[in-house]
Amino acid sequence: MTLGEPTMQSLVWHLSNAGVQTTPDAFDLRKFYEGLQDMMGGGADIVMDIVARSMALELKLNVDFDSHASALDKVLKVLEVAQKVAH
Amino acid sequence: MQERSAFNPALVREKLLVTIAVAVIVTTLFIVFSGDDLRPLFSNWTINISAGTALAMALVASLRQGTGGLYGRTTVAFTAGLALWFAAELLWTYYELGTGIEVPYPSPADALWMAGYGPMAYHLLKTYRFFAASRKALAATVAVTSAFVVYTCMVIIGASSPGVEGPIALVLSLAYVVLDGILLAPSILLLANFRKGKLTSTPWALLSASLAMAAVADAGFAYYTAAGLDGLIWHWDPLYNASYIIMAATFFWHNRFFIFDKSRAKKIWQQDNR
Repeated sequence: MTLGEPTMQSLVWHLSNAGVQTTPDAFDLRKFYEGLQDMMGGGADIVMDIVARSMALELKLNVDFDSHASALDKVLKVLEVAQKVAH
Repeated sequence: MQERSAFNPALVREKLLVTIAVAVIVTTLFIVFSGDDLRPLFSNWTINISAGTALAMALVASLRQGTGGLYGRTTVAFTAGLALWFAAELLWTYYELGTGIEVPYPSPADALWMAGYGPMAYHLLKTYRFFAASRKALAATVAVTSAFVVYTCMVIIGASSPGVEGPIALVLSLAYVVLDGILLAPSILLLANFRKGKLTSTPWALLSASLAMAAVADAGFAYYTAAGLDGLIWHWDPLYNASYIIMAATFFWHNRFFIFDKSRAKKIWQQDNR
């Protein structure tokens, strides 16, 4: 489940106002996570966790998630596995 | 510049808290100093206006949010719960001012209040499940809330005088306390999870405060009813009223920060790029 389109658009707008770029060429995952934490506190971890699992599912990647890893590390792990698969 | 400051969470929070404080103080003064003859009129309509304002804010949020995603479903659910509570308030007013008879307890208004807890609990539990806090926090909050509920129920049972209140009324009073606890626990857990967020801390603090006030008012109402202090039940009206005012503020925040406003965003962009 998502948060809902109007809420997602609003969060992206607030992140953009805070200087977080969300365009593909300027996107920085760590800055995005920091910005999201600033906006949502602990809720940012849940959103990032959902992002990691959704990405793994959509890209059909077999990723072993460490349950103790931070949400940011989980997304980075998915990206790492995706890069390996692409090569 | 003015448009941009309208989206500054710190500034909006400050203005909102001042507005809440003024509204609560003014309405409480109305209720307290209206005198015994006029108090039922002032008290009922002050609460109705506050509940109506909260419902109007929630309706606007629901219509703008739509029904998609977590916030869509949960906002609609909470609005439905608020609509039932507003209907209950109007029915209570009809009994107290329209019929001129002593409001029966339990009354049909209680059925509406009870029904309202369902969608409100859905909103809170569904959101809690999505943004699940840690198990330690869950255990601690459930333990503290349960202790509060059990203690309150024991105090109410202890205060009940034989012949003053029937068993059904007593069970209903206790049910309100238990249901308030069910709403309050996930709200506090979500506040703990969102407390550091610029956009999320304020609405969850406001909603938790609103539900806590309603819980205290319900416990007080139950205690006074059980003890046969019916003539003093109005003492809890300012708290019910404050609870609705704060709920309205919660939805104001939701409208401002959690629903994208394309035309306002466009205005800000135009101002910035002039």
